[in-house]
Amino acid sequence: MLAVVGVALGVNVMIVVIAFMQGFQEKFRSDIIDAQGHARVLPLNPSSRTKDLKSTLSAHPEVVGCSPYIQGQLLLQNREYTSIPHSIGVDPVTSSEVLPFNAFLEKGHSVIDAFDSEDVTPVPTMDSLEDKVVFISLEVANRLGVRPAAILRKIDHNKTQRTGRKVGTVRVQRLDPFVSSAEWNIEFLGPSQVLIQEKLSSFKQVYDLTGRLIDLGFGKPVFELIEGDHSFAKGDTFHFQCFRASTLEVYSPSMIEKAKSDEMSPPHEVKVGGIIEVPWQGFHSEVLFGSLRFMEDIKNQPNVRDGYYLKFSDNTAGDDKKLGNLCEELEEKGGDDWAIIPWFVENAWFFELLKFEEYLMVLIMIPIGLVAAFAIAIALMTSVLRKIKEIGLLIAIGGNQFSVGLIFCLQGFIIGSLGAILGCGFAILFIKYRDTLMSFIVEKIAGKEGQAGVAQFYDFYSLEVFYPWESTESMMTFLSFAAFAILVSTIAGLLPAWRAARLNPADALRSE
Amino acid sequence: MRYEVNNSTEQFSLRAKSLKKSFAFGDSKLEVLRSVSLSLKKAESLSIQGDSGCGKSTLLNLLARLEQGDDGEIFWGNKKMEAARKQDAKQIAQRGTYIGVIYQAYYLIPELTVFQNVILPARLNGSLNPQKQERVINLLKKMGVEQKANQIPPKLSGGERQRVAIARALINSPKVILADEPTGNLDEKTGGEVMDLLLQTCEEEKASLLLVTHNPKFAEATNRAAVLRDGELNQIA
Ligand SMILES: Nc1ncnc2c1ncn2[C@@H]1O[C@H](COP(=O)(O)OP(=O)(O)OP(=O)(O)O)[C@@H](O)[C@H]1O
Ligand SMILES: [Mg+2]
Repeated sequence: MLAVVGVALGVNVMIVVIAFMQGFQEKFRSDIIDAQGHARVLPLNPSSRTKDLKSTLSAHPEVVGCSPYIQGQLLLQNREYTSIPHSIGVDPVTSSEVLPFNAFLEKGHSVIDAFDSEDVTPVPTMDSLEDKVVFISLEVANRLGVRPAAILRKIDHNKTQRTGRKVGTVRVQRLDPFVSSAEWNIEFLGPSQVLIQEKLSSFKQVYDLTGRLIDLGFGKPVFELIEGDHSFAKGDTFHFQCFRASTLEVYSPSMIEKAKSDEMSPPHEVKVGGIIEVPWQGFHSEVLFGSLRFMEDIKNQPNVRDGYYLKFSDNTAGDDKKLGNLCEELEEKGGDDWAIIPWFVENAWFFELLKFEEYLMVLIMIPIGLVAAFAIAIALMTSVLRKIKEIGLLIAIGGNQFSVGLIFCLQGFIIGSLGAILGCGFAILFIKYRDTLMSFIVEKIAGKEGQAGVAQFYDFYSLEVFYPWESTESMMTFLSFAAFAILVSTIAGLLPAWRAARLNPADALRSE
Repeated sequence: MRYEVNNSTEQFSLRAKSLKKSFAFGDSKLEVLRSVSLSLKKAESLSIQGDSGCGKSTLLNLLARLEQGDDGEIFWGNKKMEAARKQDAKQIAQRGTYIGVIYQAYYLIPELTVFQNVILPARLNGSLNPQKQERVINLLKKMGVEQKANQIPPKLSGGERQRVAIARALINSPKVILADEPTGNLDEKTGGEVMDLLLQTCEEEKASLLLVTHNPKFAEATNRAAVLRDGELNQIA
């Protein structure tokens, strides 16, 4: 049944394209919300800039997160390299309620590749955002030639190859930005006692293990023991090489003003705590995140807030209309104090663009759909032509035009239904195996090396495409295209059958 | 002698009065039937012979109301129809139960099994019921093809196919069977067998039979025989 396959392919292609479009939109949507919350509160006058608005805003039951920020431009310097990133001061404690900073840090985290050692640097978290620590984007780090602290563990090749069993190991649980460069050596003296030595500073200490952690205090890594199949034995030794985090000099515009009047104040020195990557492409690529206090200090404007990130309950956030209404409601509460801008208003330009693209897609899809419909119609028409004698016979043995038309209508309907079901099935399979499929295609085109690059550009791997049972929108796509296919097939079957049934039955029987 | 219409109505299952039919070829006109009249008593069989192209099939089509004539009247039992009128829905509905057709080329639906083919007329006029299904089996048995019930027609021999087609024509217990050269595609021996079956079952079922044939032997086997020539029907025996 060629017609069935034709319908199936048409339905499949349409659904997949639309589903991926929706996937992209959904991804952009979540990336944007990740980057700036559901809405931003912007204080409008000097008095509200110094007022703490958080308690008023948080009082509303639909507000599940509210975190202030301060922003500005800062000049960073490392030796002769400079950068002027967009700088944002956030509250280390409450900001994670609104923006997934730890996920951003994880995304920005990179691993050093070395032959004889393994990068065991833990991914930094918001906990390490102290007042003298900043997170910067990769672009800034590269421009300045700086990097966060890192720690490598020497691989003892003789040892790891010895058994197939899981060997006990030592991890680094925490590496604060203030660690100094060092070479650590951990040697087991017995199952619960280790000798810890540091080469460069001649540090030496016997440490009695009480738990799994070895915490030597501020400025030193926190090690964590991971038991293997055997417990640790006397003589087990682990070597670590630790690299300190780079230090940056930070100048603010106000400091530069002062410098003009010869009151040069020394620059602030901060540690690079981690590399941060905000996945939303519309976000500033050169960006610095520091603590609120750090920004207050450096701008010399205590208690001034440039805005608040807001996060709403799922109930509101899922519905743009509700979200907009809530923003208006909150805005009225503040009188003239603040404006509240929902995420989709702030990024309207971007969504206009997406809309435009979608219209284009629809423009392309319509002719494709028509072609598919024509193909179905022609397939059915030829089948009717082949059966014209049979139609004559059906009438000769007592069938009427209506029932004969119905038979062919039914045939179209069955072809359409089968095609639609198959097409939906293909689409689900395609969505399910999109990663395998994409990587196969990419590998064929770009080779193994190209794969990583392409993946980064298109982000197909992380693209979330919904199954119909997961989202109503996806369900609608599946249903509407299935309905479309069935409708077209039925009509396509009806037209030739109607023509054939109107034919003089005697002529139909006589036809060759 | 002209074959005349008998005027006492009751016992006739099929009658035709002064049927005319011509086909237009551009400007010229081909007069196929000039004035054909016939009457067929209940359970009576009548054969029609005639040269090829003389209009035998056309006559059957007119009688079955598959084609419009130019003039004349047709009676299905007591029901009178103007041959020139377009058939209406009621006639179409009635055709399935009043008239059974058999063609030289069988016209079985190749996708359906023998059983489904035979029961198709019942299905089309909505009279499908368990008795009809039983009747299918009985008819197939009578035709000697009951073991082929679940085969599809392409796997059957010509003789078997025509037997199936006869069963299909009889399924709705029609009053009239119109058979257009039913043995035309069969060899002498098989044709004879099929013809015997046809005549025999029509008699059993009390159906009138109008048989178009080229074979004088078969024509003799019917109650009466007629010849169609120059657009007119004449009885020969
Ligand atoms: N639809 C039509 N249009 C034009 N001419 C037709 C049409 N149907 C039949 N004819 C002509 O009418 C004449 C009678 O045809 P018909 O099929 O009735 O002949 P027949 O007696 O059945 O011949 P045969 O014994 O070969 O089957 C033929 O000359 C044929 O060409
Ligand atoms: Mg003929």
